[in-house]
Amino acid sequence: MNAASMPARPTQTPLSMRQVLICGAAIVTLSMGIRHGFGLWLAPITMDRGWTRETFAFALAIQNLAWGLAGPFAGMLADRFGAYRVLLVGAVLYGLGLVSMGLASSGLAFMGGAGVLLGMAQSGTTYAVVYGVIARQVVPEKRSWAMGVTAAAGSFGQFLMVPVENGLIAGIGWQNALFVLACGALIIMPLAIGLKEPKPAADSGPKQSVAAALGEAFSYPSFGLLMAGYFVCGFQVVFIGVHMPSYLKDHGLSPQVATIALALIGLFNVFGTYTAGSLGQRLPKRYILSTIYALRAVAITVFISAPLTPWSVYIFAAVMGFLWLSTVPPTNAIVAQIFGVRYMSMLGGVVFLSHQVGSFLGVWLGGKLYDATGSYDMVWWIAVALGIVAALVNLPVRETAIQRAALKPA
Amino acid sequence: MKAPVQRVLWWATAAAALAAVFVAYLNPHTVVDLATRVWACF
Repeated sequence: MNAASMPARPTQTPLSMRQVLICGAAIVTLSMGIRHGFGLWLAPITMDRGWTRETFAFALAIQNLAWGLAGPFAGMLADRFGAYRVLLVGAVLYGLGLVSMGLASSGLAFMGGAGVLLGMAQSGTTYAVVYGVIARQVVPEKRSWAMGVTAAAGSFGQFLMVPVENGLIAGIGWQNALFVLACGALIIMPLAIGLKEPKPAADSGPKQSVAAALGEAFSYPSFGLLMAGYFVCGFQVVFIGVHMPSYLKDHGLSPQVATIALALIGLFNVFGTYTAGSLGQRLPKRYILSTIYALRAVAITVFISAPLTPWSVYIFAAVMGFLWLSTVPPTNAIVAQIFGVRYMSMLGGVVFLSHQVGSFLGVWLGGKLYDATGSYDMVWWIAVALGIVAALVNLPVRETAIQRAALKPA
Repeated sequence: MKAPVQRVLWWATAAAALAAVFVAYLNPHTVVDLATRVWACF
């Protein structure tokens, strides 16, 4: 390994790890948490505005796509101009998106606010941007653990905000609840100052243009394999998250079972993301990813093969919750390990785009095949097959830093 | 404060926060209210 290809170690660390972790974790708690309960607004908004469910669902689908598509650009801007600037803009967009979600009186305006604005806001306030700072400010020996802590905070945000948002809607009405959340999103702004790096990302690692960095990543087989794995992650998680309540309802289980399952997924997700990040410091991350995808395939197979009871649902929810976002820390830590930290946010955004394409297909195909066959069986088996494929494609991922003989250090 | 004590405090705080949120989900009023909203989507 030559000097240029050594994993980038921060040359100066004026931001303390505690500061980075507290601010980063709080930002991701807010950004991931607020968005997680948006489904709770479906009934009140569609009833109040007289819209169809499709109008609401389409706006949220647009939001997910916008999040994925804007991710690489938000990451690129964060790497170029500083993550805190992107976080500031993201927080403002988040607030505006929530306010416009509350005020929109037409389907088109709702799509613009709840769809495009909030999707862009999420791309600027979630993992890819925050992980760029963590990768640059935390020593490589603790990077995966730090990413695990931040991902666990995001998972906690998702777990926390569902009952909070439910209480807000019940207590002050759906519209005021959105305005309160808009104020909550603005808390990201002071927290972003805590992630202001004294040294631009452009100075971290070898000189390389954006196009060269992207070309290098796409021509490196392991990057494609990571993207393939993340695609499967998005497909499985969002298919289960969106369609499982309907699956349980079809099988005659009570709504309370779905709610407790939701709580268990949220609770175990916190443990899973932290564990995956911590294990990433000690074990090859490709094996961690392979194991996660293989276990998901096993868990789904057992779940759909065994008789469906409330307890089988709870056990499945706990197991899947543990594996839910646990792919996030190892995937991003491998990206930093291979390509260095200079374009970490941009490359993290590109990998995440693949996750969002998988998410979109998981939701869409779930509905499409249900309509065509009258059951979710086929989609469950597709999820199993994809899990096996993802387990296999992660095995040959090379975690060592890429060789860059011709590049000069900045 | 010594590091092990600090670590125990961090873990205790995290466990208490998680338990508090989980209990919030199990509150009978919340379960019914949340279930109604989740079910309304399907």
